[in-house]
Amino acid sequence: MAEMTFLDLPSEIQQLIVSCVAKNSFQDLYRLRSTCKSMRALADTPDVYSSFDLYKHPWWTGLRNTLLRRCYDVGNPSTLYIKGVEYFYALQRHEEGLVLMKRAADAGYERALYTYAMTRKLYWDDEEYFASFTREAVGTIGWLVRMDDVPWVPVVNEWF
Amino acid sequence: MSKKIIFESSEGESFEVDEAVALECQTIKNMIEDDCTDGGIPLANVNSATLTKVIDYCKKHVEAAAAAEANAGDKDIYGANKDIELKTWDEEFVKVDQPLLFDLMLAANFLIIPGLLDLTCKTMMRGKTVLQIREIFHIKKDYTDAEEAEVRKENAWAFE
Repeated sequence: MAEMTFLDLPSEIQQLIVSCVAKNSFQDLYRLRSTCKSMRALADTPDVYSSFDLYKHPWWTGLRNTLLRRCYDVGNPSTLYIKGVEYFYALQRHEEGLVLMKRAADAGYERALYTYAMTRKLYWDDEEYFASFTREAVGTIGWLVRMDDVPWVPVVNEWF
Repeated sequence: MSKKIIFESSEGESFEVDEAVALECQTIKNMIEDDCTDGGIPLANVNSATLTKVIDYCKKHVEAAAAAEANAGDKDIYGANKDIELKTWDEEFVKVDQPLLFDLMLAANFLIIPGLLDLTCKTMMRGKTVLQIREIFHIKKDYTDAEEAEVRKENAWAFE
């Protein structure tokens, strides 16, 4: 294929690329959005909202309530996780927090799996979830734990 | 001696690979399971240059997985170094011109190689300006200047 005309690609592939970009970088996605109208439409689908990793959002720009709310509505794992942790640890609403964390963990969000497993262990001495750590997940967790610049997460629950 | 699988590119060139390498492709894996790979697998929409790269990618990832397995005992349990090495390799791997990157993405989509698909999709747009994206992908701007300014303003930080 000599000519690459993005808009001639099958729409599933276009959607796939945009979602992939969304998962990886907010900057790239926003620039992509500005190229033309159909890109903007593609960047505005539930699929994209569920692929965001909120931890990649540049926090210094301030979080958009609407962004959080839409992410939450489509079951974005990182959003469920942030909300869950906050319910559980900041607001002491254990039951709701745990449910949200579990949903994020079940969606394959590794941070959530880790937090959920640890929380169950700490509060209920239940080690069942440790068994679902894959070797890969352990690698990622190790990497995350060693990362110094853990983003500062403001209390956001009242927004969504 | 492991079993060999033969791929045939769109130009009719044959590529012989180990079965383990071919198994990296979900599509091929299904075919192998269904036992319909005798006499080679014609890939009418993948050209030789792309196929060579795809095979390189699969080989590297099979080797990396095997190495991880072998060293599992004596490394620190997080296996961090290895991940970094493979990531660096991936980065180098996608330093190709845009048409090839595009073909790689399509091949990854067709053969179902999730890692490669993810890698190519996110690399495609990374760090590019709006004008570059338009030019590379032949996207026509259909915003009026005012509309474009509006879209850019929404996420001004992404353009700094």
